[in-house]
Amino acid sequence: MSKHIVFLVHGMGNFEPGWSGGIQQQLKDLFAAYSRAAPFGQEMEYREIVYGDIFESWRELWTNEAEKAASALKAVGLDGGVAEELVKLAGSPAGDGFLKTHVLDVVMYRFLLQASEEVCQSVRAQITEHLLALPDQQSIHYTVIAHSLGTAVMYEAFFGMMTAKEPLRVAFRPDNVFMVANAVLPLWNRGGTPYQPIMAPNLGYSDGWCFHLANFRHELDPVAMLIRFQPPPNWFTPLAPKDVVYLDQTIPAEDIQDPNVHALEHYLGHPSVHIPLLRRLSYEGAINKAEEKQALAEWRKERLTNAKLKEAKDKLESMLLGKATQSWKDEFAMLLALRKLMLSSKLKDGES
Amino acid sequence: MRKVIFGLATFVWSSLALAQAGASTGCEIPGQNQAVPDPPHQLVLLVRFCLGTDKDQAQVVKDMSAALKGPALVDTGDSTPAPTTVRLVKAVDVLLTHASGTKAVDAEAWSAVRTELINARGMLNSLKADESSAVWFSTVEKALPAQWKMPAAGLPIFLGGNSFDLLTLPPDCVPERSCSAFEPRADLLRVINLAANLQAIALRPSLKAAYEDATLQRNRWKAYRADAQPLYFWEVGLNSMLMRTNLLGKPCEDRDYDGVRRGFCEVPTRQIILLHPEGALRFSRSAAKTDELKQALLIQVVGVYNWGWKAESGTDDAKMTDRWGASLAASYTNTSSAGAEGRWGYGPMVHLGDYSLAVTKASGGKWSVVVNIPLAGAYFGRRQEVVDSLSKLK
Repeated sequence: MSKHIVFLVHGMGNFEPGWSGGIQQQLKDLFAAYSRAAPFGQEMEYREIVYGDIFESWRELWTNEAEKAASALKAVGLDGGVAEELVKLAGSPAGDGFLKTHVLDVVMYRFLLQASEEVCQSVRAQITEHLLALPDQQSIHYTVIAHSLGTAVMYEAFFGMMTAKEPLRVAFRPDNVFMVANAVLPLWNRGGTPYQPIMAPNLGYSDGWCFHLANFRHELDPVAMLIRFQPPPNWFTPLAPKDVVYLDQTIPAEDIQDPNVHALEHYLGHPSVHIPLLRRLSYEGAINKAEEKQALAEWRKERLTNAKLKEAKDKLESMLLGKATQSWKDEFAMLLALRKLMLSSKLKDGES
Repeated sequence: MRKVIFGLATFVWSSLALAQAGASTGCEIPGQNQAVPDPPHQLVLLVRFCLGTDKDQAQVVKDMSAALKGPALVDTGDSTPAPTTVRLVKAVDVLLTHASGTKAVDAEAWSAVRTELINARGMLNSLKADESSAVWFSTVEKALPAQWKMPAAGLPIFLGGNSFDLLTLPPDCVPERSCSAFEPRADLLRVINLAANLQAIALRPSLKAAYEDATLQRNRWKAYRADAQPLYFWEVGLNSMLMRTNLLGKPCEDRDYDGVRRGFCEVPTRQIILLHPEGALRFSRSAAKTDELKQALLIQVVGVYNWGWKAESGTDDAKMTDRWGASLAASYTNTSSAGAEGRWGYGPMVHLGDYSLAVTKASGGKWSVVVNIPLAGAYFGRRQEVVDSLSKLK
């Protein structure tokens, strides 16, 4: 193993190649902020995963076809009726409504197998290509940091990879997986339970996904709180006990520096997120308790206070659904509200 | 004197820089009597970024490399040649030899390493000369499991039924003092890392195969979107639902006993078309070019589109072949003079490659031919070519 590879996986939104530059810099700065972790930061190599282009291609196709149909409708002078309704429906992804937003990406991923399969195959191709580019005489060590929709994409892509006819062998599975604002449960579309034994952080002892899995959520993040990722006790084996191989971290509701608590940047900036991450990428003793306490105190100095905090909390609390609904209507409304908040925030996570 | 001071300063500066480099990512391992500035920190750096790598100058690293030398280690064909297994066994033997003998430090862990390596050699030796690649990879995976990667992943390693926390040094290893356990521990971790390397080297062709399959499937999905019928979102939804049925050839396998779909779906070779509006042209023999054809709105009420995948040079490809389909279509054309209302006509439609042609008839009207734009373009392009050729003959 020469360098340790860190795969960065984006969430919902318009992410183009190069999107992760800011996140990479944030991680580099975080490593540099802790003297004993700093040398490990120099040994990290970052690779970004992109999959939004697939949703965009479908959207473009629908828009172009609808435009042609609308032009034909106009040319033949047909008004009203089923045909016009059909052409209008065809053009809805091009309008200003729900189908135009990137919330549609989430819907496509959850309900259209063609989109989710292509996304997973694309992720599979990107990861294996990056791994093949590494020196061929050494073992491979890498970490996945996935955000929001990206958590569901990676979870499913790896499940597909490990259970495929040409499976991803244990030598090429990640050391660590960090799931930030986990959306695996609401978006799992393979039936049964997502807590499949092969997905457990049990790689050292049997057939598992990784050596260590961490899950981060903010108490007011409507996505992470929709259906919480809570593996049952029997997901873990006696040889890979939960307290050793799994971390479940909730950031308190008061800890808000920006109303967009869903942003990957907001999560990574929080010491309760980046310290466990840096420790896994270096070693436990690289950041001691005193440094952790100090980092948290420093971070909290920059929190929103008074009226701004109340306003942010009210906004976020209004989006919390408490639990998943049956109809998806409320979830879509929540995602639309969240999307609006994301677009108005200065925390963009590298989105174009 | 000034020269001496300058020389001394340069030496001190270089030494400090070297020590700094060693402490960060270098491969220098302090000897038995050498002080270790920060033992646990340095040990983790070594296990993660040095031991067993090409930066590591230890003899055992060179010996293992020599044992593996030769043509590509694993054949990617259906059967794996015997020499590959032989070379893997040789490499395991190198590690076993190194692990043998008296070990004053970490004797129990060394013993567990030997046990695991002996087991690995046994499993590798059980492989037949004509073993299929699937069996070969599975056996190698069992012989050289992921646990060898654990110390480099920052975890205790599980060997021979026991867990060993090899990243924690004995309590007498304190900063800035010599640590007698440091060098032997590094050596033990080196052997563990080399076993992990062996696993990655042997299984690498499976990674290549996974990449090739992923690329093929990804390109086929692209073709599904771009080269088959351009489906609207409700058609994509319908086809998505039908992907688990025989109607689309069951590209997604049945769910397992626990109701979970495993692996990936094949890219379908059929699409169902439903209520698909599109622009088309009403064909007329009197027209001389595409522009002179009347526009029509065509709705494929229901239809099917099929294709196969081309195999090039004996391997599967993402190019579509034998594309054809049929639909029931409704077309609307304003055929009468200006101001008059158009009429809906109904009839069959066929697709061949990029071209589509429908023959529709309105109630009480005549049959008319409606073609898609690529077909009209091809027809008039061809006709113009014929006209041009004939005029040249004159």
